[in-house]
Amino acid sequence: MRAFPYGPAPLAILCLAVVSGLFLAKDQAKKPKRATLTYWTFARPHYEAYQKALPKFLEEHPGVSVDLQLVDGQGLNQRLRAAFQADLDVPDMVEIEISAAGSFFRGPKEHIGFLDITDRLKSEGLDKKIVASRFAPYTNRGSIFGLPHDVHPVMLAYNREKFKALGLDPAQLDTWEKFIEAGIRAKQPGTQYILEMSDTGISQLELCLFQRDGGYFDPDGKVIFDNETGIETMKWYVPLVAKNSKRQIGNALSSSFGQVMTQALESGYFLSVVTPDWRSKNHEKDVAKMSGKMGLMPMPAIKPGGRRTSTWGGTMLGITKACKNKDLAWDFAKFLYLNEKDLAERYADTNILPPVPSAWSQPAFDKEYPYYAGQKIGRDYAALAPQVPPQYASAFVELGKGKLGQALIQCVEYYNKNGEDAGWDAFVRNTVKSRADEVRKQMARNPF
Amino acid sequence: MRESSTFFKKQQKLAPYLFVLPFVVTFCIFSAYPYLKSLTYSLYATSGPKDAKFVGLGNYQFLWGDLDFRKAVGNTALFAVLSVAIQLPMSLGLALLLSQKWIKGVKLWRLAVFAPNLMGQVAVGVLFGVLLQAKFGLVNIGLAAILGPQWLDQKWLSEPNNVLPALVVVTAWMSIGYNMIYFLAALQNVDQELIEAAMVDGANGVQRFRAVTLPAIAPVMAFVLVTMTVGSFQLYELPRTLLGGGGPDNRGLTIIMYLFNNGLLSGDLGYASAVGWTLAVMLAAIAALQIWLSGTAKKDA
Repeated sequence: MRAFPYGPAPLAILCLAVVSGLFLAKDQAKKPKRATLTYWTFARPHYEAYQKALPKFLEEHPGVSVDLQLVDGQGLNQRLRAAFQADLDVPDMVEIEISAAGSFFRGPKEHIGFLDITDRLKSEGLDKKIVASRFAPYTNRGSIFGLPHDVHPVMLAYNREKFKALGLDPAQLDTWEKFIEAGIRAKQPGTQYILEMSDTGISQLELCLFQRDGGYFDPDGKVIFDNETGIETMKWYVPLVAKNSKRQIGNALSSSFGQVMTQALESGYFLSVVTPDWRSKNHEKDVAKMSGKMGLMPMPAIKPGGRRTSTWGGTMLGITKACKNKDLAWDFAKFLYLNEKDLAERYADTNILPPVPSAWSQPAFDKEYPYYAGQKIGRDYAALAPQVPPQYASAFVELGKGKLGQALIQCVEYYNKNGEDAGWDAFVRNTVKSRADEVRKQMARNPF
Repeated sequence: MRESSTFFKKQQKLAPYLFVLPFVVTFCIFSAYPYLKSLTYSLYATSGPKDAKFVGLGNYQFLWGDLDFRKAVGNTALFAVLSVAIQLPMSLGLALLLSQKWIKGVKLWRLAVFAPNLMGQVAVGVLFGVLLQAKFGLVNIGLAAILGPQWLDQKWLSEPNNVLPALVVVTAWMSIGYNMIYFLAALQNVDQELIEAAMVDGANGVQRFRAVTLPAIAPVMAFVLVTMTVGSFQLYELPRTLLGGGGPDNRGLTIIMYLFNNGLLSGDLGYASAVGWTLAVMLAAIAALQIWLSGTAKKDA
């Protein structure tokens, strides 16, 4: 100890530091080389489907390696944002959920972390091959930054037995007016509602807004949810969910997923739920007891002959500017998203309709689903897909959703207290407008 | 030999500085520099760290009129007041109860009360997200069995007026045991001779508590009060996991969540920094006020 003047404890600390430093250095040296392409996705069904497809791509591209990573949705967004900001560990390709996509388009266009794929799409004629409305959420300031993964048309998944017992024929319920009338008859407060519709969350209100060609933003990024369509949709929707309304037909629980929804569907609390293609698979997995007892019907139209669908959810694939093998990444993107034969296989695994209409003619889309009593749901979703309304991108989409939700709650509170009195129309207009103005105010503060 | 002893003497003088150096360096890199950087950021409108435009006090001015920030401050302050009002007496009460020698299995009871704190806010959020469901949640099923079927449809997490009470109750369930530990330790240090003297003088239990126990544990109470308040103002994980964000009508939006949303979801680091510094000033003022009101600082001096 004489050689080290500060005593045994500091010596022990120093030794530990040296040993652990050497261990870390050794571990670092062992780290495998970065793959040719790194691919992040947040959706397990996508991940599993890509894992199945990957060997074929690697066979066609000798010497290439792909590191496919499944990252939790919120974690992915935050990791990607941090990676873009620090220019560190940016993946080559990444899938982003539709509601988060806009937030990555914030700031000067030249600093957006994704590659502008507009020219590639146009030069190869791929923009014509894909459902046009699906580019809208991933387009910003005239440039397309993401390849759409899906279309996500919406239908209503309904309880066949309960509908039959109530004498309801889904084929007859082709307009909202007829559906509401049936819903009023079917309602048993606290026990049974014809449709899951929230008085505090915006998932179903948003669908109805889209169905009427409304939305949060227009193609130029201007706030529009307080336009006439937005106001009329709010005035129409609130009485359907307000607990003191005679027209109330819907209710909601705290969650639309997992055990809660399983119990709600099994017990007949909800006789139907809004179901985009991806959710039809959720029902199969989560509410297995209802196999053979469920059906899918198009959404009722606003007017006879009107649009029978809307849209919920979506995913884009972006190639990052940091990607060193952009052409290879583009090939891989096309392999995963546009290879028609593989798309049919992937549909069979996920129930997700690809945004490539030429693929829909394949036999996989004619499959009869025992869960839905033999219904060819792929064909039904494909028939509705061309009617899917567009939704436009903005960095402020999340804020817009929050503000519309606040407006909904205020309007429901007013309706429960006052009903459709003389001040109802003005209240809805003022409330929705003031919420939209809050979004405008935040947007105006943004100098980029 | 002489040279060598001079060398060691010099080293002896340097040694303390060398030992504090790692802390000073890491503090400067990971605390002091980010604090200063965030202070300068708060004067810029930003889109990530690459794009910044100087706006002076513009962020603070906007913050003043920002309805969402006001709501976040209101929610957080109300949460802090309710949390303190519920947790402080309950923690102290439980500590008093579980410091009694006549209770059987007292260590087990103490563990049972403290155990929820071991779960962490994320796990508690997920757990109560299921327990507090309307219609199918265990809490409502239990309430309906006791108080009547109308409780089955009680929406704790999606009815705006119920959101904050739900957060307060869940936090109390988790934190009371933790604060109880401080009081248990403080109670063990109360001078038994004084208590016995008060008993001899004929003081009853309440009088002994007011005249002897309470003054003795006052510094610990002030400490618990300050940490509880600061902790309440830092609330984030629980509403994030329980409500998935700010909840309906932003009734569960807290200041830290608002900071996070602006800085890490929207990429506006400048505005988020302004929120952060405003919160820091608010917390410092509240803590100073609490310490001043409790008179602890004066006594300690």
